[in-house]
Amino acid sequence: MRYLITAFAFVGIGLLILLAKSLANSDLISSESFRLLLIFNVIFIIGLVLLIGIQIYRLFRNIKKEIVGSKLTLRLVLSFGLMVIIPVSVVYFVSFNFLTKSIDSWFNVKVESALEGGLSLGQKTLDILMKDIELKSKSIAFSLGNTDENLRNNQLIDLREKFAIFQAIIIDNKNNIIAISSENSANIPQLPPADDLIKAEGSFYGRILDDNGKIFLKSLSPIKFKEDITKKVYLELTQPIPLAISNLAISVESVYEEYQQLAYSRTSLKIIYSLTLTLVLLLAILSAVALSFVISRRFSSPIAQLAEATVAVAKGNFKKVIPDQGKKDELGMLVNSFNSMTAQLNSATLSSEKNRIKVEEARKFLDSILTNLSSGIIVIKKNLEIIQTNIEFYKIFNLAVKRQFRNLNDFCHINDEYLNLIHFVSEFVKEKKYVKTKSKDFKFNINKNEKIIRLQIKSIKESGEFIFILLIDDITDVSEAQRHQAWSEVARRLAHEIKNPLTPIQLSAERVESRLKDKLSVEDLQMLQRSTQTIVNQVESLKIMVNEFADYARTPKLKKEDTDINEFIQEILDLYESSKVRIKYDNVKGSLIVSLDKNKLRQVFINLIENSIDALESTKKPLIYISVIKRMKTLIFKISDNGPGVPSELINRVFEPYVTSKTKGTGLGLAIVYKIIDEHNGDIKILNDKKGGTLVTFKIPIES
Amino acid sequence: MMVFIMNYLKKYKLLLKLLLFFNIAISLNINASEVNLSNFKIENNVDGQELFFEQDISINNNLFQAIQKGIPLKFDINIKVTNFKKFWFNEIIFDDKFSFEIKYRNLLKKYQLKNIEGKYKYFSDIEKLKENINLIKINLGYLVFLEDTRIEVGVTLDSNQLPKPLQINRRNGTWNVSSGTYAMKVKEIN
Repeated sequence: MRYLITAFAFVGIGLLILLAKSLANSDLISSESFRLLLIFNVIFIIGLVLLIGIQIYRLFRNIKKEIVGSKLTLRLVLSFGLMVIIPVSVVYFVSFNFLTKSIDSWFNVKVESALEGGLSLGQKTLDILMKDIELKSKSIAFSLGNTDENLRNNQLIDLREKFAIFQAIIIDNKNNIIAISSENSANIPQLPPADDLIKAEGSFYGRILDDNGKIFLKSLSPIKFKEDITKKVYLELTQPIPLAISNLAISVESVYEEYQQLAYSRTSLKIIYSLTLTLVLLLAILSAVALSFVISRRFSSPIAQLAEATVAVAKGNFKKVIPDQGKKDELGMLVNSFNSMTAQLNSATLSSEKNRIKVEEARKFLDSILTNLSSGIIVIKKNLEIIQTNIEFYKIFNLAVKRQFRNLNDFCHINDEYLNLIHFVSEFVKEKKYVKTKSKDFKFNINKNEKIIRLQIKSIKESGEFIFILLIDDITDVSEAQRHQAWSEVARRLAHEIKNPLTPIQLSAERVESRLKDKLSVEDLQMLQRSTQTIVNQVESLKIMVNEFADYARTPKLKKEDTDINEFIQEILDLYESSKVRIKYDNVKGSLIVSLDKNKLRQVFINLIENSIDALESTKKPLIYISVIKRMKTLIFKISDNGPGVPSELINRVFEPYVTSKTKGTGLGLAIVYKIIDEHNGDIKILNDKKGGTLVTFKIPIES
Repeated sequence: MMVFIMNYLKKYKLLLKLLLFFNIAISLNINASEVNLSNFKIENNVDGQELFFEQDISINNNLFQAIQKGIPLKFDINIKVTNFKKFWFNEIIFDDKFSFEIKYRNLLKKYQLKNIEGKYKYFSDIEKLKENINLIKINLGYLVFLEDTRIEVGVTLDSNQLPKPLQINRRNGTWNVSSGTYAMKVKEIN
């Protein structure tokens, strides 16, 4: 389109020159080619208008689409257009007025009067000359009429010469020459037309003739011969107008005619020049406007590119490069500077991006560490504002991860028990100096589970400000394991220390009875036998207790063998066929064979079932429900009953030794159960059902 | 406002004329001058065939004024004789143009006629001049007329001889004076 506009503009300028030249050439104006030129110009102007219209439409469409540079192009086009239109319009209206007034000024009254006067002067001169020749003609005719016939020829010659007539001819009414006298004897006489002879019958008849620019006077006068007055004879005189007068008269006539012709075609002249001037104006303006689009785009293009690139840079695209158009002006310099700037920005951004990626990777790494850390982490500022936490922190305190704490004080709203923790931290923070790590264990009841939380706090200095890292560990399991370990040691020592003297005590009591039974009276013997029996019975009880202690304290050593779970549980249930308690087993579908220590796991089941049976003594419809589920690589056993449940104050400690709600028993049953499950790398939980009863769930991982 | 518009229109009335010029003036052909031809006749003479016809040039007011202003009017008589052939190209056996010119001589105060023979004649009255050119005689020379020989005759004002500014308006009705083309079979003329 740009080339089309340029071509149009140059053709327009060419046509403008042609029009201007054609005005200077009147032959061209009158020719058919001038008309064609006008028509072509009109068509061309229409074409230019259409082209400009399309350009304007495109420009406004671009403005509507907010294409960068279009508004600048519009401004430039308007500026260029106005710069051309205003002066050219002024010139046009001035020229138009000047032209019309100039044409009008050609035809003023004075010129016309002068020309008419000149022409009239010529006519009068001719009239005078005609009058003169009339007098001469009549005089000569009279003289010839009264001259004798034989002297007439000489008389004619004399009179012609005397009156200085160019040519004199005597002719009859049939155009027969009777006598002739001429200044130039070689001149062939031109006889008058018959009409003229008739006109001259009565009197003088004169004519003015123009023969190729030479004006002649011709006169006819009737001659009345004295010998025969009825004979129709005429004298024709031919007299050329003096050359100087003739030329002047013809010149005046020519100028007068030209003037009249011009005056007659005044309107046409005005139209031609005005039309041409208007076309020139339109061509000039439209060509200029068309060119202004090209020039404006040329000007605005680098600026638009620059603006577009700036927008791109603002959006973060530093790779944007403006093509170098080889311009060495300020715009070219600006483009080069911009490209240099974006290159530097791009380099800086890439470097920054690399650093950012590294930082991000480090942050992710840290996040990953924090996330996978088994300890909870809270990083706080001196005003207890929380900077960073990890997931484990939420898990330890059984909080929803979505719940975000901004300040450690918010934490106490969840549980009043946490106030101790916050006080401890606050004390530490108040010191406002680098302090070595401090730690403290807290016991919290979180969701009805008693947990032992160990808090370690350490301060670091970052950017001149102290930051405090809180490391939180749930040491409930560790503490419990330590307790079990301690109990095991106690049980092992008790078993060792108590079991050894039991047999001598029992043997000694039996020997005392044996030695004294024959020496004592019946009454004393009965008393001895009762006492001895009591000693033996208590020793037996102590042995049982010691054996249980020994079982609890023994070193774990599993003897795993492939076991069909359904058969295994059924064997245990067979032991309780005669029991008053109904035991229901929801067996595993199909055959499930796993590797486990049957004897120990049997003890687990027996202990749990015995506990349930003891708890169901006062229940009307006692029921124990056993189920086994295999999930992934874990066997989940559930044993529940519809008894009164475990007292809430004991439920968190039921797996500890000597913790029991029964009046009889050692309190080691569940501790042994816990230990066996632990030896199988399993996990056991005991819960009170909301509907009543107890639910024991233990999970054992299976190898295949 | 109206005064301004009226002044503007008065000032630039020529512009308005310009606009109207091509739209109205060209298209209107009111009071057009015309040339009527009649009584065609061909006679065999010693010098060959001679074409006679009568022409009646009606000169309208504009044209008469132009003549009075000294604008010469040159009329062309175009004659073409063609032998039409059924199975071959047509043969043009005569094609010529004859001219006569009418002009008013201000100096002589007479209408000047330059006839087709190139001779000048002067008339004090335009009507007498028209009478003088009423009968046109053209010598066609020795032509052989066939059964389907046709003759075309037309009399047209030669606008190329008009003053230059008027030639722009040559399509204007004033200057577009023509008889058109009278076409007829030679056989039918006699």
